[in-house]
Amino acid sequence: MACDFTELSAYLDGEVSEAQRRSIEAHLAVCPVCRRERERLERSKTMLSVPVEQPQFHEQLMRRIESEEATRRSWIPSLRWPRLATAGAALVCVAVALAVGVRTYQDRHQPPPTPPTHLAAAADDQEPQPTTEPQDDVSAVPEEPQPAPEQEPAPPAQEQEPMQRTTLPLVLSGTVTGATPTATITVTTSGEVGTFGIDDTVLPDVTVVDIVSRQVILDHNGTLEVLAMDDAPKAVAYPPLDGRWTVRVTMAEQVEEANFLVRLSEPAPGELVVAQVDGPEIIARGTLRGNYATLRADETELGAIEGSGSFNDERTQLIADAWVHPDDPAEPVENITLQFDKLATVDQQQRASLDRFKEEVRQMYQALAQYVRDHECCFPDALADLVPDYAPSLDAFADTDVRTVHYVPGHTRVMLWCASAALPPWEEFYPSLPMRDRLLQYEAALRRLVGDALLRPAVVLEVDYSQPDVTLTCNTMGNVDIHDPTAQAVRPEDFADGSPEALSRLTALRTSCANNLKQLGLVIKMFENEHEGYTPPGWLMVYPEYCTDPLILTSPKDEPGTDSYLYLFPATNLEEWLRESVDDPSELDSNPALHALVQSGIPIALNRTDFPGPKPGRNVLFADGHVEYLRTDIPGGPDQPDLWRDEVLPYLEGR
Amino acid sequence: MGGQGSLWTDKAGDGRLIGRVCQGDVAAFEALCLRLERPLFGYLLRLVKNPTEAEDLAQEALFRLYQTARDGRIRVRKGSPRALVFNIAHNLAMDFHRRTRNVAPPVAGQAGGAAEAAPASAKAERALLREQIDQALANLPESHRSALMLREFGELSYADIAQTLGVTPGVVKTWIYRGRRRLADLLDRDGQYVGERNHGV
Repeated sequence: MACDFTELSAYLDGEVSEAQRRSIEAHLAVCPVCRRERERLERSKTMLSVPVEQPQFHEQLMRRIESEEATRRSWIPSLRWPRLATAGAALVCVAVALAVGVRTYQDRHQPPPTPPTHLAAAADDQEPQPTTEPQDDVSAVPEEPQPAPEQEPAPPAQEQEPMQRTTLPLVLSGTVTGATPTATITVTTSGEVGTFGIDDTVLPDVTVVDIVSRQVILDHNGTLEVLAMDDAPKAVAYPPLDGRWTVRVTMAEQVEEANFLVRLSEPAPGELVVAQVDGPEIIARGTLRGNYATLRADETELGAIEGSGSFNDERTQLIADAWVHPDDPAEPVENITLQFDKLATVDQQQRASLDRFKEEVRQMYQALAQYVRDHECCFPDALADLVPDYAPSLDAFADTDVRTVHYVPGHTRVMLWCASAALPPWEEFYPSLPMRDRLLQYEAALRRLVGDALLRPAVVLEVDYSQPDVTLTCNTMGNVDIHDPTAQAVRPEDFADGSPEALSRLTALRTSCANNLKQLGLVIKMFENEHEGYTPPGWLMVYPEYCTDPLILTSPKDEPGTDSYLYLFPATNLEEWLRESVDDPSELDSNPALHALVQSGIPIALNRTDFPGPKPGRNVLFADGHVEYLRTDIPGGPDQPDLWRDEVLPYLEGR
Repeated sequence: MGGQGSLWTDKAGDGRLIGRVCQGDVAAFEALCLRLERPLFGYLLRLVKNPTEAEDLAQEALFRLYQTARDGRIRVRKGSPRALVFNIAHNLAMDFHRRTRNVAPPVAGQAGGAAEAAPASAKAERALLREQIDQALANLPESHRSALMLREFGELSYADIAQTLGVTPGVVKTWIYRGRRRLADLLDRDGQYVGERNHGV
C-alpha cells in the first residue's frame, strides 16, 4: 500500500472499511513515515477534543416539545412508547407487569396517558394488557408494513402522515428485578422494533435489542440483561476476530486442543468461518451478532457439531456450549464445551511460511545435532562444514524465505538468526506481555554475546541443544526485512565481465541503495519539520525517533556496518541557505516552479564510493527528495552539461 | 441527563429514532436529543462563542427538527437527522451573526462570551485553550474548517458531513485531512498557537 495520508485521517475517524483498516494497520506497522503522520493527526484530533460542558436546556426543550405535542395531539392520534426510568430501590425485586405499547387507533378516543417516569408508577397507572403471541419471524424489516393482527384494525387509509406506519402492537410485559444500573427484565413482547443499538444479550432467542437511554425493546421471548440502564448506553467497538486461535474441546472425559483460523466476513454481523489448521481439516461456519456467535461443523471425526456462545469484550476468547450429533444415530448426543483462545492475528499464508520456515530450521538443527554428537560436542566452524556429510547442501536450509543465517558456537545453545520476509512482526505472534519481557531479556543477552553489529531485524531462532525440538523466538526489532547476504560486500571484479547476471544484480543493488536514500530523504524532511527547518546534525541523531531501521544507513553494496552515505548538509536550514545563495530571493516566492527547480539541484546525501561495473556512478539524494543515479565517469565528455560534474562535484570539493 | 451522551456513537440509530418521532413518539425524540445535544452545543459554541446563545440556538434547532419531523417533512430513509439538525443549526448561527453585526464573524479568534461566565479556573483554562484553537481554526479555509468542525464537535459521519455541506464524502475526507494537518502545524504540542512555521524545503 502506498502512503495515503488522507486515508490515514479517515482511518482515525473510523471511516474506512474493514479491509482498508487492516491494510492501513499493516502498512503502519512497517512505515515510519505514516506512523509520524498518524501521531501528528492524532495530536490535532486531541487538541480539538476540549470537553464541552453539558448544555442545560434539555428540560426546557422537552417542556416545549410536550406542549407542542399536546397541541398536536388534540387532533392527531399518536403513539406512545414506554419509558423505563430509574426507579432505584423501587426496581429491586419488584415484579411489575408492564403493559405498554404502540397505542393503536382503537385508543384514539382515550385521553393520552402521561408517560410514566417510574416503573412502579407505570405498574400503578396501567393495567397489564394481555400479551399477544410473540412473533416467530424475528427478522421482520421494520420499514415494511406488517399485516396487522386480527384484534388490531389497520390504520385508516386517509391517515395524513406521509410515513409508512407499522401497526403491530408492542406489548411488553414482564418482571424487573435487581437494582440499577443492572436490572434483569423478563419480558414477553411482540411488535415492531428497530434493530439498532447494542446486542448485549447472551440468550439465543432474544434477537433484537434496542437500548436507547431508558428504553428496552425486544421482539421475542427471553431474558435480557440490561446494563447501565439509566445512563446513556455504552458504545461498543468490537475488536477484529480474524486470526489464529486455539480451541480447547472439553468432552466428558478428555480435553483436546487444536489450532484454528478464524475469519469474519464483513460487514458484521456476518458469517464466521473457522478452519482447523492442524490435523484433519474441519471447517465450521456460523454467524456473529454482536459478541454472540453460533457455529456449525457438519463432518468431523466425531460427527456433526453445533454450538453457540459468546466472545468476551476484547474478543480474545469464545466459550461455547456445543452438541455432537454422532453419525450413528444409535449413539447418544454428547455435550461438549468449546473454548477458543485468540493467539494472534495472522493470515493463512503467513502461517504456511512460518511452518515452512520452522521446518527448515528443524532440519538445520538435526544436522547440527548429528555433527555435535560425532565431534565430541564441538560445533562446526561454519555451516558449510555440514556439507556434504550431514546435509547434502546448504540449499536445504535456504528456502527463499530464509535470507541469512548466523549461529554462535561455543554455548550449550545454538542461536540462529534467520530472517523470513514472509513473516509478520513478532508482536503479532506473541501479543502477551510475558513473552515480550522474555524477548527483551533475550535480546539483551544476545547483545552481550555478539555485540550490536550482529543484531539484525530478523527472526531469531533459538535451538535448544538439549531438546530435540526447535523453539522459535523473535528479536524485538520487529522488522523482518533483511538484505540478501549474497548482495553484501560487492567487489568490483564481480562485475568486470559485464555478464547479464552480474548487470542485473548490479541494478538490484542500485535500486535497493536508492530506496535507502529515499527513506533518508523522508527522515530528513520529518526532522526539519520539527526543528524549525534545520536538518539533522548527523545520521545517528535520527535514530530511533525518525529512522526506525538503522540498516538503511548501509548501502547493500558495502560491508555490513559501513556508514555508506556522505551527508552534505548537516544542521543546516536549507530554506535559508537557499535564499542566501540565490541572487533574488523574492523570485523564489513568486515562482514556485523555480523554487522546486532549485531544490532538485541541491544534493543532500550520496554514496561515499562508486558503484562498480561498466557504468560507475553513485546514487544522489536531492533536496526535493528525489534520488538519481549519476555516472561519475562523465559520459558526455568535458563539453557536455553534466549533473554530476556541475551540480554535485562542487559540493564535494574541499571535503 | 444522560451524562455521557456523546459516547453513544451508533449513528445508525438516528434514522430509526427520527422515524418514530415522525409518528409522534416524544420518548424517541428525547432519546435523540440525548444523543445530539452535546455535539450540537459544542458545534454552536464554536460558531457563536457565547454559551447562552449556543444553548438557545441548539434548543431552537432541535425544536425545529421536531417540528419538521412531526409535520412529515422528513424523508426518513433519505439522509440522516444528524445532518439535518446541523444544517438547521448552522443556518441559525448564520442568522444570528447577521442579526448581531457587531459580533465578529464565526471563528475569528475572539473568545467573546466564552470567558465571560467562567469563574472556575478549569473552565477558564478551557476557554483559554479554546481561544488558541479558535485562532488556529480561523486560519483554515472555510470548507476545511466546516468539515473539521462538523466532524470533531458535531461528531458527524463523513456521509452526514457530505450531506450537510453538499459535497461528496470523498471531498469531505480530503478536507478533513487537510484541515487536521494544517491545525497540527499551527498549534504546538500544548495547544498553543504558534502561527505559520517555516517548513524548510
